[in-house]
Amino acid sequence: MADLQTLLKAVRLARKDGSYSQLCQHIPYARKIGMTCQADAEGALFLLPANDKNIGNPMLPAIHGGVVGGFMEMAAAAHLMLFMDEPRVPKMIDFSLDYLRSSRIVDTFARCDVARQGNRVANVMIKAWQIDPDTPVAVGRAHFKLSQVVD
Amino acid sequence: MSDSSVATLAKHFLEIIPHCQELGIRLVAASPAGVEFVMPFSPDLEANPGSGIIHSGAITTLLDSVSGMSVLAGLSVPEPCPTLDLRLDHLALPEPGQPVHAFAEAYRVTHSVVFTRGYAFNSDRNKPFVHAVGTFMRVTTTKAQGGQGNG
Repeated sequence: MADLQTLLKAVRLARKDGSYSQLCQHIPYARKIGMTCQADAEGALFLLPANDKNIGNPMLPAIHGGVVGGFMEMAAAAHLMLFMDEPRVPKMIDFSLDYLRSSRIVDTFARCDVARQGNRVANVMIKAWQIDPDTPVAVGRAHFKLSQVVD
Repeated sequence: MSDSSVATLAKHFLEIIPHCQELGIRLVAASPAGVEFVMPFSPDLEANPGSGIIHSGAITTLLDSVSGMSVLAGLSVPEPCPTLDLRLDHLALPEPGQPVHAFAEAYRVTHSVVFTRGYAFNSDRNKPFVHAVGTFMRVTTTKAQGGQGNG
């Protein structure tokens, strides 16, 4: 799978020189919803720019709850690939998502925190917000199975 | 609601949600007992490029949508019910390159909360690859409109 090798190469490069912005470009679904990633003082900040194609409730209007979830899942997986001891491919075991308020059609941000990384499984907490980081729109928790070291 | 009015509502539900249109989600069947949607495979939904495996985020959107519709189908008078939480267990990987079906039912309706359960599968509904439970809040009900229990 040559394309997977390209992704892993991008992960290794990002870990080395902080070029996180290229990472999401290698994941078709991340491109589809338009998400990006950037390095900052606290690690990695994920951004889902406002996009009418991601609307789930045209009346409010609000971003589709599933897109907010998908953004957070993708952020958690990317965060793990960037910050694990060694780069490995995370596979989602389960995902628990609490919606705290509706997500307006503005930029949405996410940040992750690895609560535990074992040999085989990692637990990642994800927070998503829009205007104010202290007023999250959703929080989530994901377990990932970790494959063998890639390099 | 009758089966046919639930089906009409479900069709309308998908038509007015931009992101469901974006993913090509279509109605398979709908009744008060449950709702089934199908999402076609598309390379731009892949997790790893070239793998044929649809990203879990797109599956989250499909299950969030079908669970939300099953809530409307399970109420005698449909009303907006925001999602409180969603939990997905990834039992296996989807079959590469195949459309994904998702079924959900509102198995418990109280005067303030609706509980749903559902699953995603490729060709055999007895072999789901994702299991999902959701909780939805009723915001406009009065006691007279029904439901019983602790919710």
